[in-house]
Amino acid sequence: MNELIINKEYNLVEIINLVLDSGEKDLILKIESGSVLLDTKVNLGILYKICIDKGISVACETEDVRGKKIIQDLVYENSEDRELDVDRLIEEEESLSHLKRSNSFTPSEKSKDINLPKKNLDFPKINFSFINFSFLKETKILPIILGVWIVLFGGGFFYLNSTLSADVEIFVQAERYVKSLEVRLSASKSTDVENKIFKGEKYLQNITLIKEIDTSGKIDSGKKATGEVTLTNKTDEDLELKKGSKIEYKSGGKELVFLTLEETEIPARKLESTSPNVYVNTTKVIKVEAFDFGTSYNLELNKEVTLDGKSIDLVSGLVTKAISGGVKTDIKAVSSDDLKKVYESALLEIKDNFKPAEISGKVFLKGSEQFTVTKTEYSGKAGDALDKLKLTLTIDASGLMYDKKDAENFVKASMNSLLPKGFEVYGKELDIEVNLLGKTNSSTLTVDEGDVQLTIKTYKIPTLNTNEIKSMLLGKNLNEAEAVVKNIPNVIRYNIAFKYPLFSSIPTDPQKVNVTISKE
Amino acid sequence: MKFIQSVKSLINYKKNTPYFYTLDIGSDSIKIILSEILKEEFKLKIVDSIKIAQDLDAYKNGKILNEDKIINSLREAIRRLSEKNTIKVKSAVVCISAPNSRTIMTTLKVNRQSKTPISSTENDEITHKLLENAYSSLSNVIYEESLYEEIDMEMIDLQSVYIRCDDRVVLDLEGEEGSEVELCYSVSFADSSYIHEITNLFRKISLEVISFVPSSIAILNALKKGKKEKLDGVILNVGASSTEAIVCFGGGIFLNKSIPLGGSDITRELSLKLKRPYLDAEKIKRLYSMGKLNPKDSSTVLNIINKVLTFWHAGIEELFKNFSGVKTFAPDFYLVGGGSDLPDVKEQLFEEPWTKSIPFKSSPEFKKIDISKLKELERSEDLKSSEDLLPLLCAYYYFLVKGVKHE
Repeated sequence: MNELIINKEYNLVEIINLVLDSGEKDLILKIESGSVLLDTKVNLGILYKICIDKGISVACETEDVRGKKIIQDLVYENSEDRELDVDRLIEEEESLSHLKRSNSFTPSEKSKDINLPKKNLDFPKINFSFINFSFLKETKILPIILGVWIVLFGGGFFYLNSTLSADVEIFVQAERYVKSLEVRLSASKSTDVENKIFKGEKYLQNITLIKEIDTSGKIDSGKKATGEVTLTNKTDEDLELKKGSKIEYKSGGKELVFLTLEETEIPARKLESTSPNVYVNTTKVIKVEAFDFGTSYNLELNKEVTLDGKSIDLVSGLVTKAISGGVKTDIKAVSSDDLKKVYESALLEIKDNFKPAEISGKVFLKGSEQFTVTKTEYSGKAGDALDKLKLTLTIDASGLMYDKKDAENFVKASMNSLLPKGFEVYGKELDIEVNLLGKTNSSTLTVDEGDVQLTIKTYKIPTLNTNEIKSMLLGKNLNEAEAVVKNIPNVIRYNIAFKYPLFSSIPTDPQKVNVTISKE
Repeated sequence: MKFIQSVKSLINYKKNTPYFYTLDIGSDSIKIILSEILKEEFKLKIVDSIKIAQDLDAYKNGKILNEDKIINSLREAIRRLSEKNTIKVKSAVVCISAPNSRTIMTTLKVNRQSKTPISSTENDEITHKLLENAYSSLSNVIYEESLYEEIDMEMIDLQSVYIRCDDRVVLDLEGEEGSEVELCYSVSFADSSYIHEITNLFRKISLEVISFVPSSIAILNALKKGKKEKLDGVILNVGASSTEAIVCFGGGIFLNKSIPLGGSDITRELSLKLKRPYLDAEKIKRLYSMGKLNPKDSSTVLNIINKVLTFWHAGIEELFKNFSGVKTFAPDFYLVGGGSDLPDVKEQLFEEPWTKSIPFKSSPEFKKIDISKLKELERSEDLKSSEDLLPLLCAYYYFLVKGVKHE
């Protein structure tokens, strides 16, 4: 495993480049105090994130006291993503003591030198100056006195040692723990913690909205001009005209069409005399009506008209009663745009104002709502002369919801795999947020299921076993005992008290050691 | 000629001058805007602006590394501005961003014993309590981020988000009658040592710092001028050596945080990879952002930029994950700062999968700051780039809040 020295002058990009360009997959970073990496947890977190993405395992070391804690905090916060690092640290620790193989807490190299408050052992200073020892030189009772002293001292020592006990009080701080995990909320499947499936329910609500808009279309209205034309049949055949036959007027680019209002027949011309043959044309007066509304169809007397498809040499026509009375006015009507507009605005209004009904204990998954139009009823169709268009739109709004209690149970069941090794949930506070991930290439959203992000906010605390800690402490002197305690994650302070301050070693008899762990 | 200008400058000098500088000290440049307060018209006139490059080892990530170099750059910039405009300016407004300036939203509820009108003293006591809470909350946030226990900060600004008295929204508590009072303020603090360092530094060049303006508040103020008062969104201030995320809710700043990654990291990488001096690399970056490079060069530059942008995205993702009191982020994004001029920053920012892991109310959407809505601002020319926007907005904020009093 290679080491890289992270100089305090390096900026973050330089550090990342240094790590990536090293080509190593396992690195130890020795970070100088004052480095940008140790400014905030986020800065170090950025490096960790990039290394994880690139498959590089980094372990950080520093002499900086605050930096050590930052490194330690991040190792634990990211431990589930950084299994390689934690495993390596555990292996290193295992070589130190068989007791540390316990899974009850995860010892870390990083926590060794944390500057924790020490127990102050203030021994009273005894002033012996008031005793005059000179008499000892002048008498022969010195050996006797010494013998008595040795017996008393040895006996006393034996007595004290046999009644020695130690109280170790350890205060451990709970850490805020926030974790997000992607799960599938499914209305059709059962909860499956292992496969990250969380049972949800379908939400269905029928919504009807009546929306009315002003129409924007226009249709022509008014009166069609009427009058009479006289048609002259100049052929040898009878001319049958059906109702609605076209009579045309063309003049100076103006083209008008009139329709006959009655069925009629114009007989063929008549031979009046022979040698030479003299014919008399037959005429007929016919009522006509303009094809459309408007004054432009009003025609004066004696205007020449033709019968549709017939040459004037065969059939000629003349206005013999002025075609008049034509008037054109616009009235409001429904246009196809109106139909579209009222539909879209009604749909948008329903979507915008959609608020799922509150169901006790259930939470609607925001963003999962889908809308299906089941019925549309318009007050008119395109072309209808209406000032207002009304739409009655009926929609099925569906979505996904979940039970709050189920979410809590799901999270509780998942906590074992979520929490970093050696930690447990602390306290009752468990805040759960569920947010939809939406529909993308990699996530799903249908009426039945959707990928959601479950964010859990709680407190974690190391799982500590007092008996194991006690067995690690047995026989240790004060310094060694402190080293053991400091090595426990999240320890904020401790108190090691001995029954006799002169005997500052933990007894070897477990019965005489009392370990208490207080969680804060 | 110089002599004449000096004489002119002396003539133009007035004790109560309406002119002031607004300075934005960055890691690779210093930007200064010279403004004039038009008191009668209640307008701020932007007279001139200058950007001067400075050595990269002078100022980094909000820390002064070489005071002499900064002083030299400042002297040179001010000399040029003074010679060109023949105006003697004595006052300076300083833009201050994260990590040196932090803004936090704090709410305080007070249940009163009686419904008597709130006196001036009581009002002061309530506000003081709120400021204490803000200080304490921010200290906790900083401890969570960096484990610094003893931080010395000074309050530099505060903006009211709302004040309620018995569910009535009021502008000022004084004189109001009610039994339940609720105040919400965005309070800005700055690192005391930074404030003192800058004040002393400016004293050495005969400039008096008349105000420190938090860039977060200045940007939000400009946004609120053109948008609804209760603005929800995220402002990304991409500076030279850092990127600041400013999360806004209900028209106030909820919290700002920063990462030490910015536009100069891209320039430095270009300089390194293309083996060109830093200033040349800056020019290449500018040409690239304006689309003036040929396709081959453009592709080379893009590859280098993309590498740094990958780091930047990772940084942004980490940054957002650390906004621990935010349940969902509003999707409106406003980009400011020189680093945001790169087209790739905008494009990639909203394509990246990082947005999936952050709870946004809906897909994030990029929006621009429209300074044409700032009707009290008179400008002779358009802004050259987004980086000039920050000192301008700080000058504008100073003018609106304290400017006329100053003049």
